[in-house]
Amino acid sequence: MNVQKKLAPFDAWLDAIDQQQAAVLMTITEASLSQKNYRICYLENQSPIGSFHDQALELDALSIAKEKLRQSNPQSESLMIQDENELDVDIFFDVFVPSPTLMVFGAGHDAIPVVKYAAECGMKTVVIDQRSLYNNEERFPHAERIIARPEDFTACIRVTNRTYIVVMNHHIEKDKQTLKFALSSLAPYIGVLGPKSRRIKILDQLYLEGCHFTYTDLQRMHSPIGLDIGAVSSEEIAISIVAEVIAVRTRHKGGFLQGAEFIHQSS
Amino acid sequence: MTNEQLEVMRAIQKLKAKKLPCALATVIKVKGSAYRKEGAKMLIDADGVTVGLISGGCLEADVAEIAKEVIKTKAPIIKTYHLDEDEVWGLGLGCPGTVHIYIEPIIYTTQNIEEVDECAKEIGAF
Repeated sequence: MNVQKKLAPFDAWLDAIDQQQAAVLMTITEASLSQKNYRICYLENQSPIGSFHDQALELDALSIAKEKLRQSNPQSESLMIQDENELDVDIFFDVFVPSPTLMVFGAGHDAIPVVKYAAECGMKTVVIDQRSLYNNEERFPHAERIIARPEDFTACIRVTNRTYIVVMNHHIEKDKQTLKFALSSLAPYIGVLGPKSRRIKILDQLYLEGCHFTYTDLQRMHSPIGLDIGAVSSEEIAISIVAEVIAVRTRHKGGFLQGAEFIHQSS
Repeated sequence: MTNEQLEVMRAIQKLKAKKLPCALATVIKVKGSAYRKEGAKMLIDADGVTVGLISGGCLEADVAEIAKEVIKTKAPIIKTYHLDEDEVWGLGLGCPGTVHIYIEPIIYTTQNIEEVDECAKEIGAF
């Protein structure tokens, strides 16, 4: 740990971005004009690098930084915090989070445009399907591909709070097992292809098998999947799915902008 | 972080590797409809060449000039722009509002680069 402290906070932050690691750089911009100890870099789940001259300030800033990294779409911003002497101090929180991951279960023909559009929107894409005939580079050139059966998911797939899951196996038993895995993960979004009746059938079956999920767990589940744009073709459905993922991440509702007061809402 | 912003970060790494001094301008507070949000960055080298945008194109030139000074003095500054809506429209510029920009020098001497490298080695060995 002492070794890491030698790295300046700004350099630690640059390295974090380089390695696609979530981090917050906190700067007391006013203090930087005249003194040292004006900057801290917080790397997700690690000890902070650097320090402030004031401990109260440091503790408050760190808890804000940690909270920011828990949000789905955290924004950089300046915030006023009180120091030990109850004086207001302006701190700029510069937040870096790696691009979100779209994880698609099922390598059918309709998964191709979903993965393609998501990649074009800057998401990391992962396709999971045990059938290597479908789950191959030719069909998914931009995606990481994992050849795995549902019983192996826990062992070989890592899901974080920045992983958005789409379930489209076209196989109700596989969808059920995938959903069981997904609902037990940290994924903030789990879209499942198919009508409401299918959703009910899968959830009932899981319940009978002893998988009882909470209301909060199930709120992450979107089924029928996608935004309501009347999509019919695979490409149109893919647009509606990717748009829904973006809307969930940015905490938007996904309707028409016509008549809206703001184009962007703050997190 | 947008691709444009990642470009800025890569540019910093490049100048850092060459030990060339530069300055980084970051939007730290915005009120009104200024084009770029908090966190937007622009890198400026000693000749005033820039990478990235901090507004819709109305502040870049001015900030680059100030940044050249910051590189010389090695002291960060906070620059505030109040852009009056009517005035701005009159000039045909599209970013009214108030913007605070933090401009800091990024200067690597041989000494601090070695320190960083050494540290990286130690972490690697860990």
